[in-house]
Amino acid sequence: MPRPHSSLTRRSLLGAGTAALLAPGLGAIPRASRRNLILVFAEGGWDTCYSLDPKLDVPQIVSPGIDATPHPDDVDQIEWFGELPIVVNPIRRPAVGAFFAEHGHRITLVNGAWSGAVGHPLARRRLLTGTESGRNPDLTVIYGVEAGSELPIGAFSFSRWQHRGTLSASTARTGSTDQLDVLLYPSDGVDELAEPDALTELRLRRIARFRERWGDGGPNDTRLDAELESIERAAGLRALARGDALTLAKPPTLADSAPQAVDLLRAGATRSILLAQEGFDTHSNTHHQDSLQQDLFTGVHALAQHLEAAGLLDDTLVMVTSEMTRTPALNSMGGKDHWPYLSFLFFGGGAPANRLLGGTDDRMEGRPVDLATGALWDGGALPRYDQILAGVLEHLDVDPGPWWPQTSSWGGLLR
Amino acid sequence: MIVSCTAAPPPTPDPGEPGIVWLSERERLIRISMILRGLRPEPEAIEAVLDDPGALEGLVETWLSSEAFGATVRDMHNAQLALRDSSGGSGQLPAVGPLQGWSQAELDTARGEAPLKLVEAIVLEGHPYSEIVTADWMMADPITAAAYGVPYDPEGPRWQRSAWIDGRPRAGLLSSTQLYRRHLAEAQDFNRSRANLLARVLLCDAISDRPLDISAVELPLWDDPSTVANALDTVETCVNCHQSLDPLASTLFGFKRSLYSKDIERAYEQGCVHAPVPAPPEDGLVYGDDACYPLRIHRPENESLYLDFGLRPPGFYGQPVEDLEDLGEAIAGDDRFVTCTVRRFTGYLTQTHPDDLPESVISPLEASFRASGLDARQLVREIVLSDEVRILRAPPDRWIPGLQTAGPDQLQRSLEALTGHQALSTPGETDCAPYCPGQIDLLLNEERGYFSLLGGVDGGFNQAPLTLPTPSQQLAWSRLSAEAAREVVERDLAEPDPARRTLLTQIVGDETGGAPIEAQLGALSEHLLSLPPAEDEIAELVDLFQSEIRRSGDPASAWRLIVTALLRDPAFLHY
Repeated sequence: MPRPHSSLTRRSLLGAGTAALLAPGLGAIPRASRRNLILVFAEGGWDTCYSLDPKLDVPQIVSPGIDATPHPDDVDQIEWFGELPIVVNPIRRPAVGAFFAEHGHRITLVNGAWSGAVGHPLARRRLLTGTESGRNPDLTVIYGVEAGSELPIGAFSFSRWQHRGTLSASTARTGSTDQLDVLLYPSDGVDELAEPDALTELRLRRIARFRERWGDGGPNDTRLDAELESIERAAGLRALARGDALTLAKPPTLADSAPQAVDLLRAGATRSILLAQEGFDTHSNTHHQDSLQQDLFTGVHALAQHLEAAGLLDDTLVMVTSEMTRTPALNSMGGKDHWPYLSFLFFGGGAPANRLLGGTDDRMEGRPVDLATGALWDGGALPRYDQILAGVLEHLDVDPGPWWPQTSSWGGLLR
Repeated sequence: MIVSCTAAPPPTPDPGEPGIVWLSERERLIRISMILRGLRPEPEAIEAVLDDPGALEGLVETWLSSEAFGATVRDMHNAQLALRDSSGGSGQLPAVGPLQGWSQAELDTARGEAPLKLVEAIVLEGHPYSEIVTADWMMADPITAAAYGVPYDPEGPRWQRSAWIDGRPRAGLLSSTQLYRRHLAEAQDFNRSRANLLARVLLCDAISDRPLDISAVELPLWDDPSTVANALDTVETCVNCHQSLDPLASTLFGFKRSLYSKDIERAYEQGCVHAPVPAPPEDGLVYGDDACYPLRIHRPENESLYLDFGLRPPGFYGQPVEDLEDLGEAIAGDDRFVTCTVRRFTGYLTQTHPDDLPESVISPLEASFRASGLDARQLVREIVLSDEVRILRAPPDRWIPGLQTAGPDQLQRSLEALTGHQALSTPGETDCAPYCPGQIDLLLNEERGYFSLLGGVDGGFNQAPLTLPTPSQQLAWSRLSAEAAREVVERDLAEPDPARRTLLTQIVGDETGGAPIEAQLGALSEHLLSLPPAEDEIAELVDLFQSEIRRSGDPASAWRLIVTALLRDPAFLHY
């Protein structure tokens, strides 16, 4: 994939000197009017029947509640939040109802989008990168480069699902547990990373000399550009850590990651974040979706609350999705398998409120929509994963064309 | 001694091939040494090649038999098959029963290395590479011998040949317990993801990536599993994948879907009495004392379980196979295996995606590989001695590997060889049984170390190492190189005899200027980068040294800074 914009690597770090390496954009640079993006990835394939896509009245689709307990409140029912019908259960998944009760009026919900993949790797690649290739960057990384060139980090990931592609130098991640946190906040108080200006200057001169020998106007220069960019961004992260007590360890739950993510936005560390909750691949027991969706919506609710408290909700588009949904029927193990349709939940960041787009039929298959309006229309087409990602970029004032030249954006998605 | 010639010769255009610039002999030697061993060339090797460039081939020959090349072979196969596992996940071997007393670092290493040691032995001993899927032997150490119940001679070498004796078919890597514990089969997956892994890696056929145009067909309503099975047999877009995938998957039914660490723990909690095992249940789950050491992840009687689920019989792309051994033979005999092997080796060793390698590069390598009887060393020899690897830059229409970046495995070996430093954690936990971490190598460990941040394969998710720099990598290497510098400088300065030191061999220790400093800086630079520094580069290092003397007044601190700078030099990190 070509890299259409590369403002960082066009900088002449050597000409700018050491000062330019330190603390780029940290408070000193006024925040631009660009929005933030947080993608919450429900890894494994959520069952949308449990919340976003009610099928309680479709007998051939196995919905939650098939083994309801005698508790009088243990009932799955459809509750309308404005225009959005949502499946709620106050005993098993109270967080779903709580989230929609408070934030349902902010939501754009898309059901029945086409992914066309039933294997996790391909489905993940399509959903996250908008392409078939695992070598391409994901939506958050693309947006991080487009909107975060002056910030320490383009896209930050609290999970392992970040696809960096050739834009790796713009990204950062927590590590498997707390590696990044340990590096930036050493427990022994000894800052092994402290690098005197003299060393930084020497390194830059050595890279420049190395480039004289190895530069080729092609891949070798790209690699050295990436090295310079990563040095600059690492310096930015260090400066950020010196001035702000952030928590950059991988949090145990999605809800725990919410304040960390919002702190990163507030500190001006990045404009693009990937969060994830894993474990939705419930082949063996479909009822695990209860606790998984409870945790997911607890986390998403916490995220909305923290964003709102920080005054960042209107500036931050939150996108919650999963690489697939699950089959209409149970398999022989009491679980459900892979089903190649997608749902997306958007809020904040200027996303239209109280809006339901697309849908699925009584066979749990996607229904065509008029891509101009998002309304169901038999003469329309199934919205595709890449059209939706392109629509998101467009909403964020980024031209998706250079990233997905073959894709026609779903322009009406968030209008 | 300061060498006064320039460190990097000016680019040398080749008069015969416009636009081609070749590496110098020294640069070529460094690149080949890093590719093969993850080590920089020793001074004697450099001297030999500078005296006689023809000496390179002899060095390559020696290196192809070295322990470090064996490690590279293992690293490569791990990057492709994700067999090592230091993620602290459900694949751990609890230190109970006969494994009591071992740390998780030791247990993780043993289970991850066992299948990789098999590949290493096949390559280094010159067996046909196809034996990775046909060998009737395996490799075991004391841990895996106890964990898997295979014969082991305690008087023999730590890693030694052994064989599976639990009735499983013997088919090289395909028989590996770790392969199936690392790559699980979900309930309704029926081994398909495992089969897809084998096809993707060994045949370069990612079956699950085939186009699936589900919108173009009228799907049956999936109201029960048999309807699904029918769809897989009758709906064209499903058949496209499943007629290849499912027969491969059916050959793997002898192996359990999973055998988690918690299964082993639970079995030991229940006593692990090793009673005679009754007839197995039909679902392939863990049962009885199969989860007691020695683990029984394979049951011959489960091999026909595919019949119970109405799945296609074992086969290999339309050709029926009897069992796993048959499958190994079928893979080994398939043309795609040879082509794919050439692409995998060339891609890994040149940090290029296998799909990006042009046929003009692959074809001659493949011919030579076949002619050698699938001797992987011959393939590697051809790759590293090829013109492509020798070229520094070329016109855009000619594929060359270009500048390479050292990964965590290479950094770990280089760092230890050059400074004697091992980035080991401090074991401190007590009351941690049966998962006491032990002492881990911070460069190689995924859960507690920096392996993933340095670009290593991450938990089986990243299917290729990341070779481009990242800010996280900068931070991690900054820490690790600084720690290595601190240790080696402290150690050296505590040794009064300079001749017995690792790096600071030209000084007493308290000098802050003059000729000894310059001599030491030159020697350090050449030792760590394998390149003689130019005079202006020495002057830069002198400036850095003096700036730290002015700041701290401490020569030890200045030497630490110099060593750190050289370990972070682009000529150290790239080749």
